[in-house]
This record gives sequence, structure tokens and C-alpha cells, in this order.
Amino acid sequence: MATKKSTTRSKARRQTSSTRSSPVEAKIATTSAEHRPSHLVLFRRPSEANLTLCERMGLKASNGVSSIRAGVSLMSHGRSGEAPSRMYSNLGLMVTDLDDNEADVYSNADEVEMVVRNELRSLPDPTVEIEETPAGNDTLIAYLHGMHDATAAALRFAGESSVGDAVMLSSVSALPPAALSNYPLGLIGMHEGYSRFTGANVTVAVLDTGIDLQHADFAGRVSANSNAVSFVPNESVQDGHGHGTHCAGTVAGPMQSAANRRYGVAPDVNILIGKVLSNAGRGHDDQIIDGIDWAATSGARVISLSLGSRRAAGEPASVLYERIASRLLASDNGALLIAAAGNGSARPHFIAPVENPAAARSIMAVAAVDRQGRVWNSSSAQRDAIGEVNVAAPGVLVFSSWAGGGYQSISGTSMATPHVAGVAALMLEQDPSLTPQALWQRLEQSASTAGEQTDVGYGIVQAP
Amino acid sequence: MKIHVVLKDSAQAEIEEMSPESFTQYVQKMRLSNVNVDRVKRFGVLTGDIDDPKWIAALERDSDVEAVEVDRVKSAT
Repeated sequence: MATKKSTTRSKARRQTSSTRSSPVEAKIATTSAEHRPSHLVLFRRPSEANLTLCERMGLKASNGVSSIRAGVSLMSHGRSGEAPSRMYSNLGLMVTDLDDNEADVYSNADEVEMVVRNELRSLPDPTVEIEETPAGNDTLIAYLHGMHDATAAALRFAGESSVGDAVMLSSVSALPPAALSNYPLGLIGMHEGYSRFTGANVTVAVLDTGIDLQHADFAGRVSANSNAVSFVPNESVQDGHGHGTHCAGTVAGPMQSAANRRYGVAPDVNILIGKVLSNAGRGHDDQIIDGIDWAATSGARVISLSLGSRRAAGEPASVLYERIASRLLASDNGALLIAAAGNGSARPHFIAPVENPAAARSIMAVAAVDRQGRVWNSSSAQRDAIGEVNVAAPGVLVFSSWAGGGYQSISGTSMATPHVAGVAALMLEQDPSLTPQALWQRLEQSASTAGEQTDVGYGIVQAP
Repeated sequence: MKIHVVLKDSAQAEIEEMSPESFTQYVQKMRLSNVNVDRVKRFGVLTGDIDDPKWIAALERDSDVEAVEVDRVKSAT
């Protein structure tokens, strides 16, 4: 059986991403929807003068608490609704709420290296990425890299290594122009967005938060209570979140989208939409299994699950999902379940284990990589003998359809998973006789290596 | 409380041979209600409601049962 435990791994791994040179990529990890400081102020060096500047700008000890731990000061402008500012004095870094004028003043101050806006760009694990810095700015890159390590160490010491106002900067490596211009489809072997297959006559199910039934890119392709069904009590299949529309778009977005940009891997696939997560992005196992059962009964040969729940290292994989996935995998008329590995890591300091249900042996677990093919900092990985990563796909700043008729570029292993589902559809069009197990093997065999096996499994899947 | 009882293959085979009356008695013995019958036949999983969590330990010791999992929430990733 082509499960995680029975497959062999003989492919040579290519050089890991940390040895390449590239622009700076910054990620600000946050965990809740509460108001957050608007900016990061990076000082040229740790100095008392930094605090003096802050005081000149009106920052004072917050509510009588001036320090939450050694080297970390809590401050406030005293404005209503303002998020507290944190000065990491040993690091020369401040996370703070600024208006545009204040940001300008800080930017022009002699003590300040740069000011970075703390923007939310993705759900459910918001990230900010600075994709490019001026060429040759090695000093700044080195500074940010050192800042990253020092800040992460400080936050880890404070017990905030994976949550809160953590600042993570990825490794510095080369930026191939071709990858930039053709991301993400180019990274899965669809150069110029092209494959001679389109997923025709293949049925793929996306089980998520539903779909925007009015989205122009799905006009005439999805119909409520026909190929789009809700398993969430008291909610229609209409996507009130956006995540499901995004995932469906990655699998099946049209050749010619309303955005005048191709983003769907398998534009001619027969898409099934099962709403198993509520408009809040959450759903019970019972609903998800109902959706899997419906999808398999309706002829889906691939079922894409961009969902999960955290699992501690060593904690067993779900026997429930393993039973269901193994039954479908073993049946010639069954289906291949593909699931997101999870977004729990904060590399390089913390690697989260693959979540459930992806940790189940008979479910293909998908990691996320960025436009250079490097593992995404938040992508969960193999931490124990239970949850392996099997393959990887683009999952950082992926452009796709969104609820409300528009589009979003967001990040997550959720975004990587439908890329694999789409490639699976292309493979099934190429060879309709593939059993679920054979499809699993074909996907793994196609993959180009992209880093450590524990991070990306066989590597990035490649379209036929 | 909703739970999922993953049956051993042998138990699933026995269930498939049961009359509706016998199956009802079987489910009652498991102290489950609102069981999804189709799911039992397809996957060998008894999904249903249990009144008292204390019965879960007894279910886990049942010779027909491979595992019991309490229904959990998954989130978009």
C-alpha cells in the first residue's frame, strides 16, 4: 500500500535553502484577531538613546508597569484603543502603534534603521512579507538576520517562541527571477502556467468553508445542493469566510479568470464543494466525515482537506481518519485524501508536528514552500514517527479567488494542499486508470526535492 | 456528547449481517443514540451520541472496538 510507512525514500536531497542568498523575508507571527501594534521600529543599535527618542515621541510606562521582564519594556502613548508598545531594549527593536506622521518621524530619526508596517495579509495565520530589499544591501540583511535571531531568542526565553508578537525573518537566499515571474504554477512544473492536461473528466472535492456561488470565475460551474453542499448546520454552502473559495480556486480556477490571470491548476476539473467548516473557519469531525463520505459517494477521486487540529509530538494520529482514509485508499474506486500538514511552526526555533488529520498514515500530508521552493517558516513537519510530511507545494502568498467576488494572496499549508489536489487531477486525466494508491505513488515520484525530508517529504509535486 | 467508535474489521462484518432489530440492540448495548447507519457500513465507524462520558472507557475495552474518539473541532489552515 502506498502509505507513509510503506514507501521508500531514495531520492537525493538537494541543498537546503539556508545556504542560498536572497532578499529579506520578514514574517510577523500573530495568533488572534485582537488589535495589534501597527509598526516595528528597528533601531540601529541597542542604546539608551532609543528610549529617549521614544519618550520624546510620547511613550510612557503603561499603567504603571514599565517592564514585563528583563530587557522588555511595556509602554503606551496613552491613547484609547492603542495596543501596548514593547521595547526589546537589548535588541534595539520596538513593536508599537504609530500613525503615519509618527512613523515618518521615527523613520527619519538618526537612531532608527527602518520602520516596518505590521500588516495582516493572510488567514488564519497572518503574515507580513517583505519580499525584496535593495540589491546589495548586505548590511541591512545582516542586521535583520541578527535581529531575527536575537529577538526570537528573547521571545523564546519569555515563553513566546511561537505566538504573540514574535518576529521571524527567514533565511537569506537567492531569488531566481524565473521563479518570481511564474509563481506559483511554475513551481509545480507548469511553466508559463501551462500543462497539456486540464483535469477534464476528473472529479475533485474541496471540503472547506464553502464557495462564493456568485464569483465570476465559477459561473455555471457550481450549484447549491447539486455539486456544492453544506454539512454545517444552519449555514448554506455560500462561503462567508473566503478560505474555501480560495482553495477551490487553486484547484479549479478557470483558464481565463476575471482577474485576467490564471491561478487554477486544473481549470476543467469537475469540482465538488463540501462545506464542512463554518463561516468562522471551524468544523466538527462529524461534519468533515459527512463531507468525505458525500464526496467519495459522488465520485470524487481526490479529496482536498485544508484543515486540521494541533497535535503534540508523540500524540497518536487519529484512528478515525486513518480508518476512513485507508478504506478509500485501498479501494480501486475510492479516493485519495490530501490534507494540510499545519501551520504551527516558527522556524528556525520551533518545529510543530504534522496535525490531524494529515498525520494519519493513509492521508497525504502537504507542506508549504515559498516562491524559491524553501519550506515556509510556519509549515508543520515530521517531529515523531507518526506524522510524516509526504510532499510540498506553493503555500506562501498564493493568489486565488475570494469570497465577495474578488481575490486574495494568502499563505498557509491550506494553500499548498489544493495545488497537490490539482496536480493529482491532471495526473488522473493523463491516466484515468490510476488507483488511489497508484496516484499517491505518482505524486511522490513526480516531486522535485526541495529541502529536508522531515520538512517537505519527497519535495514539490510536479504537474504532468 | 458525540463520539466515533472505530470497530474492528470482524465486528463490522458481523454488523453487516445483522437484522435491523439486532443492529438496534447492538447500538443500545454500546449506549449510543443517533447513529449514522451508512457510516457503519462504509467505514466501520459508529458515530453517535453518548449520554455519559464514563461509558467511553467501557467502550474502549469492548472486544469489538478498535478505538474511540470524541468528536473534535478542526480549523482552516
